[in-house]
Amino acid sequence: MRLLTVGDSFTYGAELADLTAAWPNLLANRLEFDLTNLARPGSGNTRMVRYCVEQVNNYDMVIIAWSHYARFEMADENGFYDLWPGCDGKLHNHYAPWRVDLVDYFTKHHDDDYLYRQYLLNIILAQKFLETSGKHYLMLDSFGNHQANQKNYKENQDLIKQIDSKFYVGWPDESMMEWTYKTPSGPGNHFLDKGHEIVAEKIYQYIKSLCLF
Amino acid sequence: MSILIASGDSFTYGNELRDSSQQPSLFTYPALIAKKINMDYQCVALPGASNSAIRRLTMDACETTLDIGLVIVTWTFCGRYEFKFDNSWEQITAWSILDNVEDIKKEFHVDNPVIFKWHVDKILGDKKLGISQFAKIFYHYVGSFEYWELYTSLSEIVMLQQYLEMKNIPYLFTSVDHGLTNVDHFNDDQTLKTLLKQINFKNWLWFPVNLGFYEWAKENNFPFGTTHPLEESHAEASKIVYEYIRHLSRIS
Repeated sequence: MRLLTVGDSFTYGAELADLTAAWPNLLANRLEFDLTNLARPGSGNTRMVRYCVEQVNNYDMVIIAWSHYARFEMADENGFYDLWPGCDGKLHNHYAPWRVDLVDYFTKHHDDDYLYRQYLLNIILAQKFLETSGKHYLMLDSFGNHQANQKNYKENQDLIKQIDSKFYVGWPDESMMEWTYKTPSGPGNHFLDKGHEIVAEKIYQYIKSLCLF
Repeated sequence: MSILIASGDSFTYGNELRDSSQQPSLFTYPALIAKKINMDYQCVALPGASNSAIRRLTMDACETTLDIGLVIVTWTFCGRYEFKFDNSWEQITAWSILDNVEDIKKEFHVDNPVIFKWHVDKILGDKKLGISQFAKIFYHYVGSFEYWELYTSLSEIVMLQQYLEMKNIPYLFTSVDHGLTNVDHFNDDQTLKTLLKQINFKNWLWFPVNLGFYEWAKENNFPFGTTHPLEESHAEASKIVYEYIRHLSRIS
């Protein structure tokens, strides 16, 4: 079986001494699946959907670990890039100076509720897409989204009721952050080896409970 | 009586048709079809709308409308985008970069003072809010990147189709031009091809032959206002769409 994982730095394995200790590797080893981990630090949620669409035919199962709801992707002639209102736009200066201006504008004028709804729409789009493609899938959150879910639950019922929580580990109240609370973390606040073991175990048990394989 | 919801941009709103100065026109092809098939008409089209806005407004309408008989969506040009800034929805189009009256005159060749004033107010309002400056940067570097235009528009189309099918709402999609589904020059791109494959073309109408509404009206020399086809084209289009709807009901 071929497993694709997409996500941000927490799925990539940021701050680990050895990237093969990241939870996707631990999970794939346990399931005896072949793994491709396309997670990338700072990844926006729209990038994850794009990777799914691009790669779906090459895999039997996809796991999406959504990043903070306000992260999204854009593209220009220099390629794709991720944007997070409030982040340091100067990081983009090297590739394209105009990106700094766009990040600045989004930082000053973005609408949080809108970005949260875009996150929900990405979830729905990806779920339906993977269902119609006949692929097994699971979703989970890296960080930050469960607070937004609690805050915005009522206002966004039209979208939330479209989400199939059966294939969403921890929805809507938990993310990797809660599962790994109080485990050692690096200076950049990424959980380390112990945290990755916990996340892998949590997803493994969830897959078992669904009797997917 | 069940309701026909029409969604799209200014072509669906009916800009420049004789009854459209204050409200959506009843001379557009979706409005004429609603009359013909005996449905109430609800138009949620927005002049200048992007495909994101069209998807959003259609979903919002479906959430709040009971007894929907049919949804007709006329997707727009893919080089338009929607964002929400400071609690206000903003459509970013190629025109958003215009910020003075002389450029507006040159671009739109508008004779009608009401329509000209609408464009001036919109664009000067954008300037005041600082949208023009954002739009200039966005449109120059991001909005005009063809791959991104197609990718974002196709994602919106797939998303709305998924939603309507999940809710068992009968729908028909068409578009103002055929560029939206033309991914030929991205031959090897698996992402666009995969998204395109998701679209249910059984519920998609092209005007003859393989044209969007705007292209078809132009190619067939229907009378235009400044930039919009007038009543004759809508009347003729309604016959084509009506036949297609009948064809769809026969096969379903």
